[in-house]
Amino acid sequence: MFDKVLIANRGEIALRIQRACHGLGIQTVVVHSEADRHAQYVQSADQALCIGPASPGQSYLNQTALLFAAKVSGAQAIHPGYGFLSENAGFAERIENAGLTFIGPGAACIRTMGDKVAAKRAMREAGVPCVPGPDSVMPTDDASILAIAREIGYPVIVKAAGGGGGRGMRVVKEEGELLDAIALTREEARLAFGNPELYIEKFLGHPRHVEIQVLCDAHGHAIWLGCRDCSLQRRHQKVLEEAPAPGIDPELIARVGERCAAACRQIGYRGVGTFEFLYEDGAFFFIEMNTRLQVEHPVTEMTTGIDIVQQQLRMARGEVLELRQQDVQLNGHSLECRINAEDPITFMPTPGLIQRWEVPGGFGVRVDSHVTTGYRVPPYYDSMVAKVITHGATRDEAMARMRLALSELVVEGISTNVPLHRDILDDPAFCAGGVDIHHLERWLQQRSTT
Amino acid sequence: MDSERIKGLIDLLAESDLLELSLTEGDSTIRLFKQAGKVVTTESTAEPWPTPTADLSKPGTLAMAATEIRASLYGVLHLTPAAGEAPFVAVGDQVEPGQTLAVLEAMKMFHPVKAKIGGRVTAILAHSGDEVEAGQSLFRLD
Repeated sequence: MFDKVLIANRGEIALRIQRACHGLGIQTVVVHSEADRHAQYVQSADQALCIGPASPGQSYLNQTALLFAAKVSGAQAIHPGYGFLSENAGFAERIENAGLTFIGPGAACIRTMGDKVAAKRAMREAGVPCVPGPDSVMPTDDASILAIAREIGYPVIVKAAGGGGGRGMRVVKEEGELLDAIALTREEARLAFGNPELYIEKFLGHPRHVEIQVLCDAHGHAIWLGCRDCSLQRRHQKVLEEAPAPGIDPELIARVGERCAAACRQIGYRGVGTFEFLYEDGAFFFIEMNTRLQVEHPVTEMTTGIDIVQQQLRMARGEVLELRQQDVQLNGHSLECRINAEDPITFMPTPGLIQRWEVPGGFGVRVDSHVTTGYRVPPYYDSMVAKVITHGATRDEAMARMRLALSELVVEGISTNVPLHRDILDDPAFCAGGVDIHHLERWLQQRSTT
Repeated sequence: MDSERIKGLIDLLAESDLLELSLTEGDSTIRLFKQAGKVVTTESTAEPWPTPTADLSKPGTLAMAATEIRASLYGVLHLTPAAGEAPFVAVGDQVEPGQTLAVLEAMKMFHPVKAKIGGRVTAILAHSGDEVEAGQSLFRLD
């Protein structure tokens, strides 16, 4: 049982975790790089420690520095947030070996889910529906590879076992291109992930990205907290998310959700996690599991009324999950717009000084952000500066509140993607609900040609 | 920017130890630099960089119409393609138009800094790993 948590992250999520800790009476140690020294959330921590220079490799990814910071501050647990070391099994192991608590699942679960082939096998064994294709590493002889692809049927997608998040994959439309595509992807995978293993799946042409949030304790209890639709993406980066996914039969989602919870019990999963699916023509296909807290967790919090980060901390403390599946009531609709420091047309990053920062408010509006007037967005990290979240009794109400919220948000000094979000909220296809993962890219393409 | 304002800035620079002064207001940018005890001004409006410096002073006060290559955005400067590798260019190198001189890293993305015109590199004005401001001079070309 810990009462002091080291937050091994930065920006809005460091603040989000700090709030959850303080809500539970847990003390916080915020570690920061030299570039983040003056941020407001660093000042409001119970204790702040500088762990290195601005470059993430020398600070937020420096495992030795993080463990040392935990030791000198007396923190008994480490929360990794998202990104950085949040899905690094070796880091989780080092923390546990040092006698501290890693706020997340066990290293073995992270390792299994990090290997996309092992993850697929584990999910298929647990009865979670997967994308057609073998749950084993691709054979090396050409004849067997061609036979597998023929059985799946073209188009197929070649993926790196060590990949994920949209990296290390290639679509193959016909047999003649397959072997060349495999050679290229294998080389890229070897360089990018240090693991040349590949696997092959059916390529879905117009899927939506729908994911299931799960919550599990260390005593064999697991529940699912509804679904989210994250189909609005640009270059595999989510832009706007919502809960629930519009227009999908709740009974179908409940069946998939139950499978996810059962899979968690089967693999001994602990904490929070997300099962990502492609959804096409009324069917779900598992693609990967994220073994951490996610950026878009607030839309689930808004629709379930459950503080996911507090629950995550309590599960890591070893508490028994008090919530039962029937306690999870989904209420209304929620949207989240990721506000990025980037040009809304060219998408060039726009780090720099924020001269004025006014956030929206009112009924059903929530803003998660570490930014304050006078904050300088550093060029070293990702470009997200805020998440604007709205909730309404219906999807239309949540959208109306979001339009109003975005009109109230004032950012001076740097450009942000707020104009893009406002355009999306005026797009008839988005407003109708249920666009696929290629919709935003198509829409941007069209905009640039007109 | 009115001429009184510019004159004030020239005086400010002349009285200081600074060699160079850049100021951007709205879409106009003024850049002043001192050479051999004199103050030289350049002014441009809209999309000011990278831009060849226009010689607004009397002929003869400037030795050369040098071109400066500036940062297109606030970011971290890298003068080498990767750690431990040779720099893109060195002082004295002849460069072609469009040649990459450096890369700017901002938010996990890399943006090449290219030579707008050909010429010889006479000065590298920032160090690898420096945080550079949008509009800051990085290279001087002849």
